[in-house]
Amino acid sequence: MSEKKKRKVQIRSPVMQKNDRIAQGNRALLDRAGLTCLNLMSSPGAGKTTILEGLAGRLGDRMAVIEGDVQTRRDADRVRSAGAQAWQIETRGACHLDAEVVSGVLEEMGLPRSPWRFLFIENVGNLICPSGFYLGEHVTIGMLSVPEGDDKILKYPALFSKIDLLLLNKADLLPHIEFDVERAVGECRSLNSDVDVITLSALTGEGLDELQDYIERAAEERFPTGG
Amino acid sequence: MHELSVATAIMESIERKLGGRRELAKIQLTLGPLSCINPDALRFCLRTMAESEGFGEPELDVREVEARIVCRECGREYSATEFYIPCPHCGSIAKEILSGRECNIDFVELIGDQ
Repeated sequence: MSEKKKRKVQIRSPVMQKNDRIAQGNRALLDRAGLTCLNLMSSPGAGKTTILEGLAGRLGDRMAVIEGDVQTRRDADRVRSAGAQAWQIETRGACHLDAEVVSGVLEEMGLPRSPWRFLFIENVGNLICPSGFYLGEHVTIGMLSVPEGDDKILKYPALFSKIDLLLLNKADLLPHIEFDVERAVGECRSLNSDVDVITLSALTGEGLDELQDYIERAAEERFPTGG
Repeated sequence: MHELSVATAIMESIERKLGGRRELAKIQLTLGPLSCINPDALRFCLRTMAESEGFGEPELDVREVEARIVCRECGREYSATEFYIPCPHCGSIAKEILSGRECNIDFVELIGDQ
């Protein structure tokens, strides 16, 4: 094969630039709406939807939810039954939500007009891929359920090193399984010294008061009600 | 497996930068250990996509870089690709991660006088 002439072209561009630009647009829209947005990430089955059901029972029409799943509208139906408005994204195979798909839903919701105080985005259950895609949220939440094991944080450093809040769910099972809360929290703080931690059980409601306080505070800090 | 969406974003960026699809000899990327991208999966997706979308059969050069870390115990800096490894100076695992999420397209090489 003859050696063909080659010409080098510098690109120097972060691959996520487009996603991040759309995410910044989402963030600006959420700010104009005075709507605090929280991106909830965990493995499948860790209890994301059950926690949102618990919060929906408390916050009701102050809360909206965007549900991300590969298939089915089940989660949106569950959250609606619990009293919050919900929009379902079916990713049809994709393992994460990206800023563009969220941007479409924000438009559908009619933002910046917003009757809500909180918008939860329940990401696709996955501890790897969602961590690469900023959606424009104000608060990034990572959750681990205790049956998954206390050794998981350092296995998924990309996610747990960037979260604002660590939730340890299914705490009602702690007496029955070996899960060292101190180890999990210590390992998370080794990557992420500022992380806040709440241990809770979506099933029994333990810790939901603390979680509600946390998100009310997060909203008040950003968008004071002046009351 | 989100390497496919990453590959799509890469080819879109290249096409935008070049103002169209060109036959490529090479694509050089930089990946950090927190990018959550598997280089082999990405290579596979990029190769398939480049061929099917009219970019030829470029060589894919993935430069894997280490993360920069500051030890929160002794304050010294070090590099690592794994995050459970203690500080090589004092043994503490408490760290502040300065970099490591890189996923950049550095440059491409075009074939001929395109």
